[in-house]
Amino acid sequence: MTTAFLHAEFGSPETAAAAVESLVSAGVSPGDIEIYSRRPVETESPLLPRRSRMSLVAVLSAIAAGSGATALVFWIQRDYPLVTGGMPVTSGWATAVVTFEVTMAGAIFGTLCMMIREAGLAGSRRRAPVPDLPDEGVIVQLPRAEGLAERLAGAGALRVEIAEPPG
Amino acid sequence: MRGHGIHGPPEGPRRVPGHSPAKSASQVREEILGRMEGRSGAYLASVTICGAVVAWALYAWGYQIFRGIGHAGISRPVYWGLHIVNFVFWIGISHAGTLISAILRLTGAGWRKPVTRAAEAITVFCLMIGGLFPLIHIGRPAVFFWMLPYPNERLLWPNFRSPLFWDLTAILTYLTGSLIYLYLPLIPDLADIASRSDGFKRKVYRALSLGWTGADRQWQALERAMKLMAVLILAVAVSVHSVVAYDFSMSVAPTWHSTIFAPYFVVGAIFSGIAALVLVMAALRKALRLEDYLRELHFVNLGKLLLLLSLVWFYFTFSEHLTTWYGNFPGEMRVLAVREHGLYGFLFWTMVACNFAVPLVLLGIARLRSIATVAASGAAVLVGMWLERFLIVVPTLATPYLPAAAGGYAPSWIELSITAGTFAAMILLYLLFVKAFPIIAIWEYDDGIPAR
Amino acid sequence: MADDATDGVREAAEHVPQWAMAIDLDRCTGCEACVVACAAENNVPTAGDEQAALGRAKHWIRIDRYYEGEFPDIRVKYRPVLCQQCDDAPCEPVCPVYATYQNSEGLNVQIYNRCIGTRYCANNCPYTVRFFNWFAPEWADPLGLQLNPDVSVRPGGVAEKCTFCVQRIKRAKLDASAEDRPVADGEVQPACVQSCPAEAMVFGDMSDPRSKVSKAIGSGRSGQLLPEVGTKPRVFYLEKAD
Repeated sequence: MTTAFLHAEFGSPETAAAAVESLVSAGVSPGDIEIYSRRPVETESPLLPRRSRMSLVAVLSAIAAGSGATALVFWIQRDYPLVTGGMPVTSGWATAVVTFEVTMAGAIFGTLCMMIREAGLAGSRRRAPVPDLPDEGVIVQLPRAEGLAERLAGAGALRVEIAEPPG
Repeated sequence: MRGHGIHGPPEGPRRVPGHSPAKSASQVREEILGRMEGRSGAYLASVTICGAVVAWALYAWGYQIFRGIGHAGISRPVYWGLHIVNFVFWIGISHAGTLISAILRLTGAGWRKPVTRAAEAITVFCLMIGGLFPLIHIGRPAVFFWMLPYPNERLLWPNFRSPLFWDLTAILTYLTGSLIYLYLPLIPDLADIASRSDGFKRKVYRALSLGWTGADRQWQALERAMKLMAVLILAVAVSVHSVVAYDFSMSVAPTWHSTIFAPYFVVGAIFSGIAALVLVMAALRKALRLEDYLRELHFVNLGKLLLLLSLVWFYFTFSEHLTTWYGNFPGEMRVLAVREHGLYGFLFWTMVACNFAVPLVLLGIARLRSIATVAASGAAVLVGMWLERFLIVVPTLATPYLPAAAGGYAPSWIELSITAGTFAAMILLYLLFVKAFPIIAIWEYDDGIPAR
Repeated sequence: MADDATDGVREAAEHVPQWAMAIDLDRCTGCEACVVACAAENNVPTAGDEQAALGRAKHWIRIDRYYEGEFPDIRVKYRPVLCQQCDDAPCEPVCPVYATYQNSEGLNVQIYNRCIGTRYCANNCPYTVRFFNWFAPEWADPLGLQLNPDVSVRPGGVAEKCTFCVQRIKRAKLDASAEDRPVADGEVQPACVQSCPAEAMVFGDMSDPRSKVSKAIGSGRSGQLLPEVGTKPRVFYLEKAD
């Protein structure tokens, strides 16, 4: 039940990184911190490392789509057994391309869905207020708590604001 | 070869016409977004002309549908004509984009930044155009959907063994994948445009940006998704043109039944794709005044890639013809003879000149390599690759196994109009695209442009 | 005779005929009676001068002429070419909608109302015996008044080809089953076979070793067209080895 958020603007990714480190050492959970910027923040290692299941989901949906499509093709060919060109009614060779393409389509859709989900796009995650982005620089957002605003200012924040959550 | 190859940094100081000042990230943003504003007289005239040509092509297509496909020039035994030539050609060019942009992304080539979106847009438009040709080509387009595996009351399904069905799955997968691949890195820029505009425009771009906020979580997800998509789209792109090649190589027609057709077509596709890319880039550079972004370096690097592919293309063409000639099968020898003499012979040697001689001279001699020669080579290669598709489709069909059934082919006004219409459609789609979306990914310029 | 008949009834329940044709090239005079008969039987539309000049005349069976020797010592050889009803037909697997497939009697069947007109089958036929309806069918007067009611008229935009006169095969099978007997050898005669004045063509069940067509195939003079393509045709050409 957070009531409000703090928005702290930093001039460069480096100062923001230092501020995040100091916040974490002060006991703020990294999961509560969010960084907003107009361009991706590029530092040596990610400021806020996050677990991602995107690759796993892509592989799983590829397997699901590919095997599902292959099963459907084989069932259809047995259900309606028409002989063409002296080929066997079902054969991996004749439908390998279909299997491959649907497998890849599965991976692509898996990636897209996970991208939307993990990025919280299309209204799938909306609990924090959205700061206006500065042309340059980085905004660090975290739930408001005692003493954090001062710590942010001490870490070099250009300005610190209190933002109410939406709705 | 001297220097760092295609992925390396610039090869020291080259001849740089004019000067390229350093730009900060904000300056880049202002400039690129500024290029979307304003519609000059030349722009409106181009849109009108291209629109008129496209409208004429649509009339020709309608004529063919309602008056009978016999108004096209195809006949027995050349059952496939320019519609299929154009299909293969446009699907080939579509490899420009996604494939090149994916290779550059995966190899971390820093100079790709101003190139990728232009390339990805080519892919999507070419697939939209190329994907129409099966529909234009078939005798009963109204029942095209019978190719789709949908449940129906008779439980009658399509034939999954047909290369044409493989085509359908491959092209649908590639089109969807390329659209996503173009769209994902566009999202931050869409949000940026929304934040700068108001009213209806803001609503549209806001909706298109799916509520992008610029959060670190989103940047990380985007980066991860793009890496995955680059791998996936590479595999799909290679498979798509292989499947287009399978349309031919799965048949028993003389010279079509060739095991190297799939890689041959893929190489040809990338070749023509780069050719289209350098032409589009040269046009964008002029029309949108992007001299500071699309620098000579980009053209020279892509020119070297074009030269490399020209050599690979020649190698494949040589192997294909040598094997056929040495094999000396009567059916294939007749096709070879037809293809290398007479009218087809003229086209054949024009193709070799365009695809091999021109790039070899213009791009092989380092002193000659410049934006103009790279673009000229691109134009020559496009002509050459179109001719290659024609020379694969038509002479084989005109020279079947039984000499008594031999025939010829002359395209009618319908095929020529539709061909012209597809080129106009490509230009038109691009004209509309550059005014609706930033042609260069703004957010990728996180460090601006360094001074030259 | 009585034994033969009862044998036949028992066979009729199990036996699936395998239709085949033998054409004696040494008998063929190239008169093209088969071409005309085929067009009349199968409602093959006429193309007209202009379209025929474009190569769009439809002949489900055609006579290929081959000239041997130098003028004036020329020998002409005629070869009637029709759909070879291949066992391993290259035209079948490439169709995306199953508009053509192999039926249990060895016929390469064409389903006109399923065809969407990709023309892939026509390209992939080594014998170039598949035809395409470039326009809705038309007949020069008065040919349109004598259409065969047993054969469907094909719409524009679909492929078609020789069917071995499948309507006659069906009629013979119906007649035979009504009389509770097997289809007799020679009972089915496609229009081309029936009209050949030189009796160069034989049609029948090649799985029955006593049939005329089986004997012709086994005559030692028989061969197939383009065997190197591996299509296993059901049309056999009889020719004296030169």
